[in-house]
Amino acid sequence: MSRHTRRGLSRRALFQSLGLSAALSPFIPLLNASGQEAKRPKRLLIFYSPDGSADSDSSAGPIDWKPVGSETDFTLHQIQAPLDPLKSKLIVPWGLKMSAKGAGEQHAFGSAGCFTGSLLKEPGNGADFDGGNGHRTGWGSGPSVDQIVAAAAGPNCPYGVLPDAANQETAYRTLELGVQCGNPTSVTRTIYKGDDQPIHPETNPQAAFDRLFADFMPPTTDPGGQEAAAAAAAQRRAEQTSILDAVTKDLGKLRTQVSSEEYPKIEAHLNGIRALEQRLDTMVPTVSAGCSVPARPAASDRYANNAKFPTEVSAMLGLIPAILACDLTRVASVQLSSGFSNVTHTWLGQSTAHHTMSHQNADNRDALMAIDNWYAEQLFGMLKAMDEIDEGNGTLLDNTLVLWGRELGTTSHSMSPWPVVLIGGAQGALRTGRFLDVNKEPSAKLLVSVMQAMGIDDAMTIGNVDANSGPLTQLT
Amino acid sequence: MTEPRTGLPGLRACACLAALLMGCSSTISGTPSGGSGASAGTSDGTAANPGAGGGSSANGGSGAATATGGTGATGKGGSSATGGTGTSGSTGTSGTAGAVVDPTDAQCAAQASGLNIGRSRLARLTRTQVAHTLRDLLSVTGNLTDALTPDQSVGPFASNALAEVTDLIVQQHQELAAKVALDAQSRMASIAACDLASGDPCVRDFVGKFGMKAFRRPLTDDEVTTYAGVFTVGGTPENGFRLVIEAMLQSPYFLYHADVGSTGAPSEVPVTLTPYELASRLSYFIWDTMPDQALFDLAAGSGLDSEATLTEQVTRMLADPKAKDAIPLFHLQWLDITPAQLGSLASTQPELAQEMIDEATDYTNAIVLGGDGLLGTLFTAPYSYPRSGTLKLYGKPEPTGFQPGMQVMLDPTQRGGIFTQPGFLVKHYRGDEQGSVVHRGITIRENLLCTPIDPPPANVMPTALPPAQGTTARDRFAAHETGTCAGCHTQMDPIGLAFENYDGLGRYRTLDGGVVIDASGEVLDSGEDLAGAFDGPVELGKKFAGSRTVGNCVANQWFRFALGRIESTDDACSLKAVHDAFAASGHDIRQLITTLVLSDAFRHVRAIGAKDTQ
Repeated sequence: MSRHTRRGLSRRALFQSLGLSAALSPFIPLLNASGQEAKRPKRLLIFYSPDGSADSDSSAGPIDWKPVGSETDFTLHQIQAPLDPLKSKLIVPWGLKMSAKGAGEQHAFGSAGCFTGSLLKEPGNGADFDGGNGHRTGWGSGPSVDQIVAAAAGPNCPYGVLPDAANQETAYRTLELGVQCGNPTSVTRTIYKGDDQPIHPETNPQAAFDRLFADFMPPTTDPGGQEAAAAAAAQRRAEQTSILDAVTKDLGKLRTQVSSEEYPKIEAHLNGIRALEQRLDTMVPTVSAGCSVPARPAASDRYANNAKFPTEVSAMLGLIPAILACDLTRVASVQLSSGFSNVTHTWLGQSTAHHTMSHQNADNRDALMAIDNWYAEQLFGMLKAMDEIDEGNGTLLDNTLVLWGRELGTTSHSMSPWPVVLIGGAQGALRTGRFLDVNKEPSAKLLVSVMQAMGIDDAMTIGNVDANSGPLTQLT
Repeated sequence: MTEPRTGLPGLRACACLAALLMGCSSTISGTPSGGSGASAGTSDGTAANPGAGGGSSANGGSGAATATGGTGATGKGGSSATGGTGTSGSTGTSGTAGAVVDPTDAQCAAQASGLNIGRSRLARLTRTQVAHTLRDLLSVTGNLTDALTPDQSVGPFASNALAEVTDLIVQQHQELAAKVALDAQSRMASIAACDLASGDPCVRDFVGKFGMKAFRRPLTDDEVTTYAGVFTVGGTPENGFRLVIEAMLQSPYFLYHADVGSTGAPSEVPVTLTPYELASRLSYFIWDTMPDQALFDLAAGSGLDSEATLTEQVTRMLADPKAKDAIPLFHLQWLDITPAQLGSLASTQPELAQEMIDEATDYTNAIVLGGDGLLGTLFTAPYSYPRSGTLKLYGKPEPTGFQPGMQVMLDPTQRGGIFTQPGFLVKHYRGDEQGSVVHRGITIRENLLCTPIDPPPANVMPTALPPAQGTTARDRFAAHETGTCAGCHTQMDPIGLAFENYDGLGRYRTLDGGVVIDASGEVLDSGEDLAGAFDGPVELGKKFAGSRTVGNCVANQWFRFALGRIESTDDACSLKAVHDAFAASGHDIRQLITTLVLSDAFRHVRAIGAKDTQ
């Protein structure tokens, strides 16, 4: 089992050549072939919270959340204020118009477009959902920016090898997480692998933890123990391979028994099996400096339990710094709730659901701002943890680009200004510590800039709503 | 702004859009249309629902630019129907106002190909199906399948016939299989029934026998060899045993309903299901789980070929306790008594929401399985099976010796039938006192009358007027009666407003905003047998009890539930048989189930749709 990192030898090969045991691994930096410290890679994280910035259907108008001050000396609005301690590491691009259109109404096509810049389609191909008020829709029509970045390979990208290469650098090319995201419809999915290919997030924090951290090996000094572990790993690999081979054979047989209309399902299933197989070959992380196993979350209930929402959010966000620091993946997304958010923020003293409040014949702007402020707090907690992990070439946060977006501009369904924040800057690819008035620019430009910042240097287009937009040049 | 309902078929039949286009105002006029055909090429064909009455013709929808048009539906209340602009549409027969028009006996007898059914998709098992199957296959208990990504739906029913397969669900099934197999290891002696340490023939024997149950059909020799190979990699008998189970539970033959048909290859012409496939379809329909040994034995001996045997089996299966899983599954999804439809109640008051679901479950089982089995009784019975929380909502004190789930007689002036149960009344709960006029109306219109409603125009953002002293919901909704809103809202509001005596949690009240509630209602444009005013949901229940229109719609919903697909025009003759028998039996649900099982659509499969049903 050999694996080569992008810039150096695999840890195992390195240890073997240096004659060192795994016990010393916390103290061994990642070295490249000439013995110099290899740079930790860039990461991309999409963070979603629901709805738009506060407006009132019955009042004088939406809040103005534009930061106050100059480009480099500004004060954040209440809905972003909890991010203030990290102000030097963030950019607030104010005024973007979402590149999102299509079937249904704004919650639906906003969900399909906010991270993809692509249209939400009419019903078809078996996809048929209520996209709001009984308007029917299909699925979205293009990949989200995280999936595009994850599919790329290059010296400035998160990954150096293509997705179907034999020796993957991480156990997961991408990870999609969420909390209480609801049943799969066009209004509840924001991450897309491509046209008609929504990705459903893992919404059970405990299941995510068990999947991702169960195999972590504590360092052992006992050579007998190491040998036993290696033998067990080899046996397990042989077992899983024989299982997956049998399943693959059955899928091939089933394919001859069904209509060609089903081939995409079979193909997708085969891809899922291949992903499991690939993971057999990826090295299991060892606990080390910067990579420590987080606390195991509590179990979730059978149905979404509103009272547990804050705990589940906290638990899920608590996994992310470790997921990235331990290199389980380099591209991830976390979606908290969804469009038409049914979450009632009782812990903020509220007694009506988020989305319901946004369309009552009353001025609920204070309550809605308090909700956004709460989401900003949750985000800040995670960002702070990321900023406390020293990766040598900066903190984990410095190495990451975090995109905080939502599916609307305002709660009254205006698609601008899009309440978006960029944090981290991806190893200096973006000039942080600024607020930018980019009024009326399409959000597709921001997404293209994210692609460029993540190493797709010649990216100029995303999606089909504002294709060929080029980047948002003010970001760099 | 209403919250999304998942999974209803895409085609609309309300005259709303037509009315808007023609600038019509307060009454439905002009041509009711079938909905738009699905878009280009790879679309899944959903039948255009019959146009709601009032017009003179119903057209099938037009496909998108490069697609074939949908098939024209039979005109409801119309004099003719033309197919869509696709390659072929069928001409509908003229209808009496409001009645769903079935083909005639002569037409069905004369079908050129002998029999005609709509085509099926390859469906992955739903979460409850996986849970129940694992329970019966390996005695698995607990809620292990809750961690699987949620099911999608076909109509109101959970189904993965059209769901995409993601890396995550494949991984989740791998994790589930590993857990279940590890747990089974300690019971190896009883499951394997021979000494696996002795090698073959025991190993092949175990693989064949367990595999037959896991795949719900006998394995081929080649398959036995493959899985015996997996056993060998395990090294020890215990490990090998575990691996075989872990592997089989990830096979598509376990995870999907692989209804291939007796020819073994996908067919454009309907072919009979193999006996094992029929046994499986039957058991997942009536029990939501894999066949039992009796069904497998019948399949092995080709006993399921006979109508008499099938009928016997249905009777046996309905009497089996396992029917109490599937029968409520149909009813609660059909009536939108689900956590998703309960709105924020499910997440903010989960115990109360669960009580409502449990009450409706017990009620359904008591009547359909334990009682007279009549649809009418579901709509009118003067009792229910409340829990402490729902008993309070009924405004009743706990009777002495009260046990949750015992039968309690209700006040007949306030309650009667499923429509007055809290589970039904709570639709899209928002945490306030008000019930949802629109959503109660939508459930009735779409799920009980099978007439989907068009959405409002894209630029309309409905914001409900807040309750106020001196006004009732009827007053606040008056704006729907005028202009372009009326076309669709007359389909829903006169029904939903009749429920106003029941507040957001289903408690009875006589006043709204201090004003006495007027609970008069009317089911407009649904045919003769539903015409005329009624007062409140108790009377609505009685009206529905005798209605052929409702009966036909209920039969269609059972069809969707049983077959995991929306009916197409190719199923018209199967459905006709079911409609007729259901009506003739006085809407006996158990009879309906039998007729459905005996229908062509149930006993055959067609994998490839002809172009005009795409």
